[in-house]
Amino acid sequence: MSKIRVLLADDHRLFREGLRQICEVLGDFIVVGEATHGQEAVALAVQLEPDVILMDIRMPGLDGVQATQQISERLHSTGVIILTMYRQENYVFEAIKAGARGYLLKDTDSRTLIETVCAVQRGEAMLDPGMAARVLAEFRRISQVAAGMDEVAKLTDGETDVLRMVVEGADNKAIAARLSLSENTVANRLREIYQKLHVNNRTQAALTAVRRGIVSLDADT
Amino acid sequence: MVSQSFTALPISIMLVCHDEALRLTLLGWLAGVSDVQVMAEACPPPDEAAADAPDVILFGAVVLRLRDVQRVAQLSAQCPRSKVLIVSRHVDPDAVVIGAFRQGAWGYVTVADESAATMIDAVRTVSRGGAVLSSGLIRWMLDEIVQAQFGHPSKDEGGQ
Repeated sequence: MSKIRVLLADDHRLFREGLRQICEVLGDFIVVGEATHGQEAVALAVQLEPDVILMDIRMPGLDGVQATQQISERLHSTGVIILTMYRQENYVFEAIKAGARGYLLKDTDSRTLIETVCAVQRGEAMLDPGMAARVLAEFRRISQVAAGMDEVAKLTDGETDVLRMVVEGADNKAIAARLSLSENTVANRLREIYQKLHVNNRTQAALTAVRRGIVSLDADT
Repeated sequence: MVSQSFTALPISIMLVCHDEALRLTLLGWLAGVSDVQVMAEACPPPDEAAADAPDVILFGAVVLRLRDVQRVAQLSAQCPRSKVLIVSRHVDPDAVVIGAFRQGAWGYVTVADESAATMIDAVRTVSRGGAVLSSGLIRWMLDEIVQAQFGHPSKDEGGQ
């Protein structure tokens, strides 16, 4: 297997040197280039097409989030990991919106850094666990807001019963057997559910149900 | 921050698991670990919870059902200082797992493909205030947040 090709973008030389050591000695990656500001990061990324970019946020000129945006518009197979001092949620969400697939704090350890580079190269998303907790808290907050505004949750009891089983991954046959209905009736109720939730399939229906708290959790299934 | 490692108390754990085999597996995994301590194997009544709340509530399930999600919600409400970590024997549908996270869980691991070491790492992570989620779910939640905040999903939608 060929080695993972990494580009470093950070305006602090000593930090880049440390990163290079970690990447090449502990990670067995190849550092293909080093950029000291956002503009240079974009130029080198386009020229070198690295697998992964380790990107600082605050750099002179174009910052890391703007650079990430430009890079992800041009290169679809390059994964950007933000490596920063900033713990604020807004930076995480801005960076993810710009196309970053990883977000680590600079006080992370080398093992986590290496695991994140490997995961992002495979196309996965990785966050520092502390940041993941913030993302989770924010997700809870917006899903409460979404539940409060929900106008589509007017499902009948029968439809809610079906939807609850869809959430748990049951197919139509299993739902029919459990609720003593014909498969036809289950299919009809599902169609109604899709229409009310504005979705096209059962996966979307299940996620919408959970996201908006439509499926009441108190009924025993 | 002086000599913290020498004075740190073990992570206290309450194990909630109705499946005997899974319960024994989890107890076995925790038995030899020096920085964790199983203090209870059931849920304390609400009055005691505040005083005696464990650091981590380890919630074991063979298959995660909506009624388990409801239980997670109750435990989280009862013990707001404790972090609920779910250990499931199956890889459960995303919607149910998301439901559990929405209701207060801070971590989810499956016994199916994770080792004891992974679970214990997860216990340590949630006890320190971190969250343990799969890459796919992080991606999904981030897209939800980005969509709520900015009106459209992130550049590189994972396609869950």
